Amino acid sequence: MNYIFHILVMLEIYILLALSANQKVGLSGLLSLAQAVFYGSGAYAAAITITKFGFSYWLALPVAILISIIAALLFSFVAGKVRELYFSLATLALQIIFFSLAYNWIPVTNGTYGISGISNPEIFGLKINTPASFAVFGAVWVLLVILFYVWFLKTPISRLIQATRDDQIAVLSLGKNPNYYKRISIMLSAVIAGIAGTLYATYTTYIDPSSFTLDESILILSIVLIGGAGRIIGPITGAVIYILLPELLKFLQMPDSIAANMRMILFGLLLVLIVRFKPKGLFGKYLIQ
Amino acid sequence: MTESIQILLNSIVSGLLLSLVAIGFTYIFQVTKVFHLAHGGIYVSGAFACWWMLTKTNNWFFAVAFSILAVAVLIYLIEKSIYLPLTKKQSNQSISLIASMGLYVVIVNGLAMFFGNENKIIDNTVSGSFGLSNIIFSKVQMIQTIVGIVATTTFLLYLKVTKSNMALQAVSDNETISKVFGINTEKERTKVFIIGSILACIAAILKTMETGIDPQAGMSITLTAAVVAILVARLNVLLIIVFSVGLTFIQNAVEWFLNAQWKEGITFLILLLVILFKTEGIISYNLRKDRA
Repeated sequence: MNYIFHILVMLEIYILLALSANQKVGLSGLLSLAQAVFYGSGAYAAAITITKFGFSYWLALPVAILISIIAALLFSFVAGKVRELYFSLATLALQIIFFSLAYNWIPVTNGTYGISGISNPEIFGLKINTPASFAVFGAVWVLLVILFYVWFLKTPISRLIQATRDDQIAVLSLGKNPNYYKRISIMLSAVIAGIAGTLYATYTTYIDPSSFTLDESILILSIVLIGGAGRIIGPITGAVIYILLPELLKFLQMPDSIAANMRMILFGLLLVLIVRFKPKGLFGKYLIQ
Repeated sequence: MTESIQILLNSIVSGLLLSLVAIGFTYIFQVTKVFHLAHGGIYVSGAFACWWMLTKTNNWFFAVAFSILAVAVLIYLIEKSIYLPLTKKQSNQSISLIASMGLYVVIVNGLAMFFGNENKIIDNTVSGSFGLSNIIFSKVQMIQTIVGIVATTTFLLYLKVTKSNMALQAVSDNETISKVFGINTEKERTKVFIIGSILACIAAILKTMETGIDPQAGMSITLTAAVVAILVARLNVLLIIVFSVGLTFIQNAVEWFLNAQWKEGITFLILLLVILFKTEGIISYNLRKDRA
């Protein structure tokens, strides 16, 4: 039973990551290859404040969000300078620089040894330290983010963010600054990914740089593109496919030694086929053209 | 002093190998506008094909011929089934980048599934080295240098003799007008993909002779080649070689004086600065003057 709850927790973390990436890719049209930077910033901020300064989860959370926002400001600067492919390449560079920092800045991140002993969250003295309780805790976060998006997508600011994605010149002609809306979108994306990072760090109680690589960023982006960008249902579907795919392979009695590779092959193939034949993804609204 | 000369020597050899990958990557990127990250998958496919054939036949000629044929067939299938249809649909560069990422994931995991994730070493390779007052030049490095120079010169001769460079420049500048002037753009694209992949395959085999190969080895060298492509931003073989050697020298110096893990961070910091402040590449002014 614990295994099912573990799968559920990972699904919730990936849903949050996919929704955060959807904010940038689907709503702002910014194809970022560095979502793991925000994820990692949140996770490291939580891990460091909890283990080195003795913060509780609820004190570590705002710090993690703040650090993610600071990282987002750097990305906003990049988004203001370059567009399309060059934005993607700049984010790719930022992702690799972040990984180098996490790997080499040993006094802060402990390098390859990572940070262990990250304590679990507590609510009203109740420790969230089992997969079942974490699954409920994660579900609350997912629900909050989904409810936020149900509201946010109807707001004028969301429409202006999407207008910036579709036609920057039109937004400029309305007297609005497109970079301002990109900045808001990137910050929002960073906050949600940062929350996912705090969940991951406190759930696994250990983090190291290998969880925040370029591969992870590509994976998060793929989840959004397969599910479909621009809607809430798309990223959720992508995350469900990614998490449940290995379970399906287990059902087919595929040995563990090849199941991991087969999962990535199927996921990669699905990405190529989606791009080739259904560029909007399974349930997407926005076509990256 | 000895250390500096050794670093320079190693950088020239490794830079030559990088330049083979970078020439292929730059030509593909400049002509087809595809940011071909799957080049890393092609690189490791070539190395694995050579290693596999060597384990079966122990014959270098068969192994090299087989690996070149394998990458040529693989890239042909990729171009005809994925990249070309996307170009015909007028998809932008981001779409082809995503497709390329997907292809890379499929190729690398396919190789890992069939051959395993561990590093594969070629047994039938040369050993030994030449030494001159603490400066070492291995026999493998000598082979890498000679084959690297021969491959690059052959590529330059091919461009000169077949006048392909002009056709490639034309396709790169404007594919539609190139068609009007009778250039078979689809054929030129396919040729660019195949030749670029063969160069990557040669580099991969040469590198495998020295360090062996694992399925993940292609991404790092392809990303560095991509940095060279962005810095150079034009179809010029000699400039690509100079930039490749220069970048490798910086990486080796960082590895020697700091830490091996910083070298990618420094490389991509250079890329980031160029993208942000000189998007058209370091030599963009000359590019415009040449084309005027």
